[in-house]
Amino acid sequence: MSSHMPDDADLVAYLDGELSPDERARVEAAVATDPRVAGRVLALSQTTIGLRRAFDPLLSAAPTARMREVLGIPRLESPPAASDVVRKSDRPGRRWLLAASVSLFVLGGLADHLVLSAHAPTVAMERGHWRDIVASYVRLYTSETFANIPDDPALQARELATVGSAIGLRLDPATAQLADLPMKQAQLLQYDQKSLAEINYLDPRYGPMSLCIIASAEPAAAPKSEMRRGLNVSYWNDGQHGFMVIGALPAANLMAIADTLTDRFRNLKDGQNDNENNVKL
Amino acid sequence: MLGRFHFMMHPVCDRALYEVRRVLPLTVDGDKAAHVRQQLAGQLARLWRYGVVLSGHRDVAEDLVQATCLRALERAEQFQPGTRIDHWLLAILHSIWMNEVRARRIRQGHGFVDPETALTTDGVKTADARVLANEMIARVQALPEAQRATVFLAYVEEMTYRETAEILGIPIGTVMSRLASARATLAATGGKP
Repeated sequence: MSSHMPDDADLVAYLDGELSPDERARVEAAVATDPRVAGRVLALSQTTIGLRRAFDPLLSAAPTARMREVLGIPRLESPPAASDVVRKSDRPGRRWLLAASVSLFVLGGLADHLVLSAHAPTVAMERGHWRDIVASYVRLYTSETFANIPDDPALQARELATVGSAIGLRLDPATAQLADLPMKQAQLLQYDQKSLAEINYLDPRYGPMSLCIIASAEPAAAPKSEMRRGLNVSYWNDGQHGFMVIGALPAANLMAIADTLTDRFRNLKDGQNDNENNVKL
Repeated sequence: MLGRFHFMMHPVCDRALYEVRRVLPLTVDGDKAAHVRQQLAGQLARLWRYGVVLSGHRDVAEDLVQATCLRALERAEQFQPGTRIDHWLLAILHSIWMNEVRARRIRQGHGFVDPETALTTDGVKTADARVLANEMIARVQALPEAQRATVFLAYVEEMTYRETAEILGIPIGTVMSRLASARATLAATGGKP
C-alpha cells in the first residue's frame, strides 16, 4: 500500500472537522500508519490553541457605548453584564471541541459536543454552558428543518408528555402554545447526563425558535437577555428548572415570550404542587 | 435614492460619514430595517474587533463599524430573516474594508500596521495570561492580511469553512489553503502558547 503524505490543507481541514467521511478515513489511515503524518497533525493542531480566548479581551475593549451613541442605536433591553457579547473565556470553543474529538477519533457532528460536555465540570451550568451548547445546536436549524414535520396535535401532545415526564414537568399543548408561533415538535436531548427538553417553533418571519428546559438547582432568576452564537436568547430559572428561549427573533420578542412562559410555568407548577398536596391529603 | 446611494459609496474615515449620518437618520422605514436596527447594538463589539484585526487601528475600526451599520440599514431589504445577521454584518464590514478603506489607506501611506501597539490588550486576568494572549495576537497579526482575516473568522469567530468563504467572498478551497499556510507559519514560529 502506497501511503502518500496528506498535505497541510488536508490535515488542517481534518483538524477543523471539515473533511468528508472518505477523506477523513484516508487521513486517519495515514495518521495511524505514518508517524510523520501524526507528528504534522500534532504540530498543526497546536497552532490555534487559546486563539479564540486571546482575542476575547478585544470585545470588552470595543468603544461600544460611543459607537452606539454616534449611530443613535438604542441599548439592548437587558444588556448582559460584561460586554454586549457573551464572554467565552471560561469554556472550550467549538473548534477546540472538534480538535479534542479528532484526537479521540470521535467525529460526526454535534454528538461530540454532547459527549464531551458530559465530562465538563458541573460549575459549567452556572456559567450558562448548557445554553451555549444548545445555541450551537439550534443555530444549525433552518425553516427547512421543520418544513416536513406535520402539524399533528395528537403527536405533539404525546411528544410533550414524554419530554415533560423526563424533566419532571407536566407539559401539554396548552402550556407550550405560543401566539403567532406554531409549535412544530418536542424532543428530548441530553446535557451533562441530564435530560433536556427542546420544544421547537417555527416563526413564519424569523425562522426557528426553541424553548429548552433542563432540571437545575440554580436559584430562581427573572428572564435576562444575551446573545449566543449569533442568536438571541432569553433565559431564566425558577429554582427547579432552567429555561431558555432562543432564535433569530429580535431580543424584545424573545423577552416577551420569556415573560409569558415564566408566568405560565409558575402557574403550572403551583397547580402541580396543589394536586400533589391533594393526593397526600 | 440614487443620489443617496452614491453618497454612501464615498470612502469612510472622513468627515463625510458624519454628514451622511445627518442626511440619513437611522430610522429607515420598513420591518426589515427595524429588525436590522434592533440587532445592531448586539453586534458592535464583534464588528469592531474584526475591524481592528483587518486594519490594525482602533479608530479605523470604529469608522468601519459606523460605515457598516449605515450600509446595513441602507440594504436592510437584502437581509433574509432567519439567516445570521452577524455574518451578514461581518461580510459588509469586510467588503467596505476591501473595496473602500484599505486601498485608500495604502495610497495615503497608512498601510503598515504595528500589531503590538494596535492590539495589545489588558483585559486578561493575570499578567502571564496577558503576555501569552498578546503574543498570540501578535503572531496572528503578523500573518499576511488575507490569511489573518481567514484565521480570525475560522478560529476566533469559529465559523465553518463555508461561512468563512461567504464572508470573504472566496472559494472554500482558498479558505483551506489560507488556513493551511497560516497554521504552517504559526507552527514554524512557535505556535504553541
